[in-house]
Amino acid sequence: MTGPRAGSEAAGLHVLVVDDSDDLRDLISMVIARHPGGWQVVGTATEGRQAVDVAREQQPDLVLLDIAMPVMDGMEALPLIREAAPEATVVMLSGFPFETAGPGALQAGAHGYLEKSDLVRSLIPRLEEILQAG
Amino acid sequence: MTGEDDPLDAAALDDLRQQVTELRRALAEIGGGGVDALVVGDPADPAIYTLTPAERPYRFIVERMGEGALTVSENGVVLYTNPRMSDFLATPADAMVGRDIVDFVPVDQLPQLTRLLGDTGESTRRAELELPGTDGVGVPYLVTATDIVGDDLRLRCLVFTDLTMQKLIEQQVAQEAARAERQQVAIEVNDTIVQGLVAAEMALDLDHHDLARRVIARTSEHARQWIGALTGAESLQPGTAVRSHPARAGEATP
Repeated sequence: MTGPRAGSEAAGLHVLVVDDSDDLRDLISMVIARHPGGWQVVGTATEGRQAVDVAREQQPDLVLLDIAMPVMDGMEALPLIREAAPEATVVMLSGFPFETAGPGALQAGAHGYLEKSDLVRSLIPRLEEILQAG
Repeated sequence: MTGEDDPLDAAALDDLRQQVTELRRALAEIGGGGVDALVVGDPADPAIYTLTPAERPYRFIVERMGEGALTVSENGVVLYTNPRMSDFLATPADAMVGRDIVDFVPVDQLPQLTRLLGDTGESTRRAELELPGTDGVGVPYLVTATDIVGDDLRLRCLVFTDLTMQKLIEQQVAQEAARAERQQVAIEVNDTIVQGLVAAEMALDLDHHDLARRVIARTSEHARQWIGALTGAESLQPGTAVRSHPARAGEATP
């Protein structure tokens, strides 16, 4: 495989969750772990620099990357994660509406953009959609 | 033998008349500023006397410079003004010379003017003055006052530099800083409150009711702190209300 993992190959997906909110990180991890396709959270990080290290070490298939974080934000970490784990699909998470931060994130190399308000009920469907399109 | 009252011959008289005419012409040229130097004596070893005043280049600079310049007497009477200063005050130079400088300065600016003209012991003093512009709107100036002390006179030279452009740039920089701070506050509010509510909703969906309650309580506390900080008298410092480190977001992200 030369690019991000496609939806048909998404069974047993390895996921890295990056968010500075402990609650949100844990809850997203729970939702990921309940995926019937056996998705696994192989690592978590609380800020961008740590995320780059984990991505290099774990080579995840999917990275959920928060934008606003202390130390190194998601936009800064994005190209470094793409370089550290070139096979990974990177989806940005943000509390900002897509129009505010989405186009910039996609232009910077993200494969998808999810508003945090959409996480509650549509996290998995939206991720599957992005992986399918990838 | 010729006596003392012997008349000069006509040729000698013509020669003298010619010399007088040439001398008069030379003096008129010198008086009119048309002569820069005199060459006197043996052409093989001439003595050269420069007539151009040394201060002429300086006067040229003062007349043409972009700053306004005024010279005032010890008691504040305007003795000289350059054309730029006349432009600044929209007053012809001849209408300024001889008047008290106070006539050209608004009342609320007089304390600054007094300090500039005061005898503080410093050879150069600086202050900002706001003078009415041609359209009536106040124009800020940086004024530098320098004492000129001679044997029997004491003058003060005031140079006015228009600060309009500098003030405009300072204002834009301040506005940009305020915008950046508002942006940082928006990021902080978003990260702590919105995502706290999202986390609570997710916890409820996952039937983690205790976690949902804890998240809601924490988020509610954060919200109170933000609202207190935003409505309080103290300036809000991004990152200080709820987090140990301020959130950062890419420059492309507001």
